[in-house]
Amino acid sequence: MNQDIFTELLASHRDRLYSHALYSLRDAHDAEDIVQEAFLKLWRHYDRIDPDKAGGWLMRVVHNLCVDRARRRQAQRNNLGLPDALAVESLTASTEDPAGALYLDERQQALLAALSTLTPETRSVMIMHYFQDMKLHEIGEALGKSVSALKVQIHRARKSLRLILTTETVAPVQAQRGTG
Amino acid sequence: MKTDCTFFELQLTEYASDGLGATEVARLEDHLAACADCRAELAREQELRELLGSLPTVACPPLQAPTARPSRTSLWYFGGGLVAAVLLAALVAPGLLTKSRPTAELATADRVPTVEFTTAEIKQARHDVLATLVLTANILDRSRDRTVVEIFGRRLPRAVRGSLNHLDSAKSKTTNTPDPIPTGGQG
Repeated sequence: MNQDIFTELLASHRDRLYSHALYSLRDAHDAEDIVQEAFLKLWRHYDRIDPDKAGGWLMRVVHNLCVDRARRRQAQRNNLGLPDALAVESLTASTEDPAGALYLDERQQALLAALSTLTPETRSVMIMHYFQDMKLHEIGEALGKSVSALKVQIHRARKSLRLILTTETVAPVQAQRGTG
Repeated sequence: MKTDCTFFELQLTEYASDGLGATEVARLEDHLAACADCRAELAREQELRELLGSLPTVACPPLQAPTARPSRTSLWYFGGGLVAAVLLAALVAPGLLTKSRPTAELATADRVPTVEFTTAEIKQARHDVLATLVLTANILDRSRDRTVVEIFGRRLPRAVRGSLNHLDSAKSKTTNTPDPIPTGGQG
């Protein structure tokens, strides 16, 4: 891998990984730190990384960093006796740059808040699959997990988000297939 | 039926993302046609997909990209090696700068020399110590009604007590001034 390829990887993955970290941690500064760290690791190790697999490698690094950061924050909050911050507001309101604020509808805000009740790892997997549109086998490859384990993980997460997901539409099966 | 539902529910994620084969799709759809619970679960799956899938991709703030490609041994290893080299030099250099001597010679040359005191010097030192004790006793005992031995009492070793008594009596013989520490008196 040469420097040109590194630069190309940076350009093509940066925003996607930043968004993943942002929705996973709900903190812009943490997200920026994580992406910076991920690319620094890539810089240090790129002699050993196949450029074709760098995207998955980066995703794994960002996933692990998000999980670590979230666990550390939770431990700090527990120690201080603080409630877990459902900081969807930090995503939707920016005092520094109002133009950069995210405009999410109520259901998205509620869902992101509900995702915070999941474990950091499950939350990251959900964002990988539903936001980044990664297939289960791609996630499995990136994280070293089996497709079966991922199916179970997502199934349980969906169950726990049931109260937020209130759509009880019973529609014909044929019309629903492949619309996701 | 419950067991079947769990099996099919686990397939819903792949079903909704076109990840199932034709045979599996047919089997699942047959089940969905007959199971309202699983249809509801599918609806939740699709809602989840719609809500999270429509989240915007946020532009990442500018990152600080490294400008120079590190060598194979990265800057960290290089820096660590440099530190190690400096430490090693600090340990070795003093030895290099001084004349190396055989071990036996060092054993005698660097040995701390012992000081030999004469008997007279020892006596004088003892006298000085005792005199200090007397002076201290005088300061402590304003009434000067007690001897040093009486002031310090049994805290003094016997040899010292003996020497002090001898000192007291010697002083009273050599000077005409009143003995600052009377031999008798109140305790």
